[in-house]
Amino acid sequence: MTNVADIRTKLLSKELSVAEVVAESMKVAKEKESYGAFLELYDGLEDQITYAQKLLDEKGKDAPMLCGIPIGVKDNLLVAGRTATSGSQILKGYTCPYDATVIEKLKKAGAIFIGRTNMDEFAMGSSTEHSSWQKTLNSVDPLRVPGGSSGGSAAAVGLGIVPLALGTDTGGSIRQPASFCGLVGLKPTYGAVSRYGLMALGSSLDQIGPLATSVADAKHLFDAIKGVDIKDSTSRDGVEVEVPKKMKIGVPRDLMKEGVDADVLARFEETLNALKNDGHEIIDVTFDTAKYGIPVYYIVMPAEASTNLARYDGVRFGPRTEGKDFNESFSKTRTVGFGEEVRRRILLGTYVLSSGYIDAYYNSAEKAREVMRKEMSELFETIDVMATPSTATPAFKFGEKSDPLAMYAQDIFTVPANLTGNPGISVPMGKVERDGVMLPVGIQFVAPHFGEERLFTIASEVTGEEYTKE
Amino acid sequence: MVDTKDVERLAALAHIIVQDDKKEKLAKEMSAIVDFVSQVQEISGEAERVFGHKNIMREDGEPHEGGAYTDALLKTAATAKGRSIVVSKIISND
Repeated sequence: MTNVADIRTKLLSKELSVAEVVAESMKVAKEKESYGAFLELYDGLEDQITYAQKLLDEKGKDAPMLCGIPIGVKDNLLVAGRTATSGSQILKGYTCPYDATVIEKLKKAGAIFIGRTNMDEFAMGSSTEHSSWQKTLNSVDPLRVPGGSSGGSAAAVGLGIVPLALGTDTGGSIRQPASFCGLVGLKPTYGAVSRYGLMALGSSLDQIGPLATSVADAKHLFDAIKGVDIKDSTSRDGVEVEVPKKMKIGVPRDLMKEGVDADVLARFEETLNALKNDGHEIIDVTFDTAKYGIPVYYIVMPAEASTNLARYDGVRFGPRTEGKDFNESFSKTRTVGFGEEVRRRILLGTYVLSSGYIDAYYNSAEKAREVMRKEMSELFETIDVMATPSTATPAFKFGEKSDPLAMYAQDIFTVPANLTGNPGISVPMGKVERDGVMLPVGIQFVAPHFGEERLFTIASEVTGEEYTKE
Repeated sequence: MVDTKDVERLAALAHIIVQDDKKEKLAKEMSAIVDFVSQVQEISGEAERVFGHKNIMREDGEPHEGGAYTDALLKTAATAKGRSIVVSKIISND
């Protein structure tokens, strides 16, 4: 269950039925249960299976690419009638009243959601250790974290339970777990995919995207979910940028001077060399404002999160912890319901937005973000894509990043693309050894807005896939 | 610099209860984070805030049928009675 093309071939030749594909996926899920990728495996899939089988029988090759394909869904996306908790106790038992737009599109295409995947609470974290429900183990080395916040989705794909999973990326939450689990992960252009039905973390940063074992599969899922949506006024149809045969790849080496493991850097340089030998041009660029990415992000994101999470008041969603009056119930519900990291970020967001500090922090961060946007768009006047390692290190061990700032530093290479809205992809660029285990690490490419096609093209050269734009 | 008094004020604003023995640790962690993020002021002077997005309103069109979503939405509430969400008292007598 690791590859869409293989499953589709078997479905089209009738070697396997949709029901058999789903049963196989469920079987692997149960065998790998100890990894904790899923918070829940769905039952009652019969209608969806029947619908997909019928679509395949009637349309054959013309059936949508993802018809009959099992998919994992991150716990912060709404699937009507199912539970979704965003990894938080505050939404224990919450039943989704409607489908997220991405879910609606995939249902129509005949995809089968087999369950919801674990995540850091409200997507706040880079290891999935902040889930309030369970741990998720790295699919390559169970002593290590899968990354986060889409760690459950990454483990589900990495373990071969599903060929595809939906993740969300606010500061690297798709690309970093993809790097840690040896997968392909795409953070689309801001606005390329509707966020309707996604539980918001940072509304100006969040995007929904695929985790997959190949670039082709990531594209299949992206193609199925993208597009303007009247229910998300930030969604839009962009003008696709052209894809040169040989690309100018910009490398901001200044950013990698310190803090990046030597063997990760070695894999990175080897990958660039291979691309150079294939006729691409490697160009040194400076991206001075990128070093402000993490500070800007850790103002903007908590500010938006504290606002978005104000809705969890013990009235409209999830269970309430009773107090003597409304205000006490409100505070008690949030104190019991939110985990430590969420409470910390809400307080931080409240601080940077409070009247005495908003100019010094939030408004300054938004201005700094504008400087970054400008620098990023100027960069793309001379280069086609930018390349960095996706992460500075391979997957770390549980408990290793107990200091919040150490955890925040995880996002150094991924955060700029969220702040500027550009698309970014992580693909495996080789392995490095830690404690006798070979661990995967990823290379990240960033393109101009709506330059996903450029990303798929260059990324497939790294994975060695034969890629042709359809 | 965030002190324990700030933590108390922020907690009250955000409707979160912070235990007394946690205040100091939290103040220390938040101070470290606030110190770190204040770097943004080094480059923010070069730019104006740009508001890239604006609210998009739609014209009033044909509304959905009344009550079409009531049951599904009531189901998500902590407590409901009949066709209403039940909330605790907002004004106390003492």
